[in-house]
Amino acid sequence: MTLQILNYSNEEYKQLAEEIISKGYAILNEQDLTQRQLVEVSNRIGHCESYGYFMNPKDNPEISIVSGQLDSNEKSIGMFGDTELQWHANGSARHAFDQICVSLYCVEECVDTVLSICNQCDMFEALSEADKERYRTIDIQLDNKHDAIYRISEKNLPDAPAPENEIRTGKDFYQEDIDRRPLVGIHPIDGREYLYFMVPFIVGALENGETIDHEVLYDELWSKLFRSKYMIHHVFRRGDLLFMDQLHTIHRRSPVHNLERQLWRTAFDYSNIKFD
Amino acid sequence: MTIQISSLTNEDLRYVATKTQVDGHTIWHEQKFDAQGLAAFMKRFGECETPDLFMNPKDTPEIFLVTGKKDEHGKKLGMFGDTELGWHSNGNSRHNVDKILIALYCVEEDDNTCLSICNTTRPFMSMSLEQQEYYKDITIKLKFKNDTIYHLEEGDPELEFMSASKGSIRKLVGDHPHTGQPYFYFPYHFIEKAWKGKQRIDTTQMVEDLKHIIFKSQYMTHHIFKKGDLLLMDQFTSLHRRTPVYDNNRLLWRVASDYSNT
Repeated sequence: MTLQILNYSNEEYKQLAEEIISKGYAILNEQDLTQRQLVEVSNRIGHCESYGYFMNPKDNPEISIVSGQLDSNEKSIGMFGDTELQWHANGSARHAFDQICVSLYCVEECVDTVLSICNQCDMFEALSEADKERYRTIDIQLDNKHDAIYRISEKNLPDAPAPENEIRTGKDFYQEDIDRRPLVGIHPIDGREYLYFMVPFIVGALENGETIDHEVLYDELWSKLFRSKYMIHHVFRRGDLLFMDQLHTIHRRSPVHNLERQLWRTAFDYSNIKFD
Repeated sequence: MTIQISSLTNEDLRYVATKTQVDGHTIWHEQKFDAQGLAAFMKRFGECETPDLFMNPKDTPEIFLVTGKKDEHGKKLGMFGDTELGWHSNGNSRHNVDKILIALYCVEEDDNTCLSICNTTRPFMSMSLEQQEYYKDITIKLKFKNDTIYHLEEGDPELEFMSASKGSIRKLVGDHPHTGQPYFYFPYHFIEKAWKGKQRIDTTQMVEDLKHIIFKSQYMTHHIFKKGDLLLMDQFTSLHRRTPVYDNNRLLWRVASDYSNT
């Protein structure tokens, strides 16, 4: 019988968190969790985001259902639909946020759908010193962009708007007191530098305080980051529980074939782990 | 700079071969090969298959083109089309499978197409001794069947090639010829009959039981090919499958060899 995360000691949670941060992700197989138990597990690591959107179950608002399935009224039961998802991470339309760990738990699988994870920390580490120095002088500006990760507009019918429209994000919603963040961040736990290349949400860039063409920067970073050697890929099977650090990694998904595929997602910080 | 596998010494290559045999696969990124170079490199492992079929370029018959792309007359340029491919390994229904090392080299990528590899030794090793003994005593009969791992239309040259194999009878559990490690030989789509000792057993039931034992997430690795990726897979200690192809420009070069020069 596979070791169940529900039975982990505090020390085992700490080791798991360290693995997530050092590798960028951790995968546990054959876990058996209810929604409540997934929330409990997430809370053992840190404080969870909680919303009241259409994809958040009323009893467990910390969970977001990720599914392309429609209910009997043709309404989406979860977020992210069934199409390809562009590279993204949690909180990517914000300049500062705390919930830097995401869990994805597989309830229903689709063996033809793959999640790719790219490590932005390893990529930065491998850059030349000259590139590193230059990227450290760059700030990026982020905001929500329509259809950034997937084409919500294609689900907007005149008489039935996509439920995703109710999700609030971006500058207007977060009302942040900053309008930029460094392209190269320092992870708050392990202190390693990472390149924060939030592909779909970059709306501006400044080098040494001067505005630069962010689209040129975008193309330059794309070719340097999205290389096979920085990536791992995962096809979810029922009971798989994936954790991803949202500063050290970015992820994408291929289109979904089995619309019954369902993942439960939580996002949280590491505040309940006592790191050495 | 990424290490180029072609520059490794024979001793290093021997290590790569052993690691591939034991783990079921190894992956090498950012490799620079042309067709001649890949064929020459694979010959350092062993003898390569050269069946001279429509998907083998004349100049480099060791290479099989794997693509869903068609020419201007609608003719297939490569094997395996663009649909999902079920779990299989090289030469599943052949009488004598000796080309047990497969190389797949990515020439044109598709970010949405994934190859999954399942290790077939680890599930065996995770069983109790009693279970191991049970499965070691099983013999299987294999034969290619269309519409299983994929669909081939009547008249498709690939169907002719695949159907030409007479099939084979062998043990469900083999010992790897080079490492001696046990593995499940489980291309289940092609298993026609099974015997425990001399007694026929219910093949469907056996297949369903083994699917739950073998195809577990913990035994799998998944890969999306980027240009320059080279995947080496041992065909006894792994099985593989592919998701449907979205971009038919995706092109892999495939070479099947033995380990006779390693």
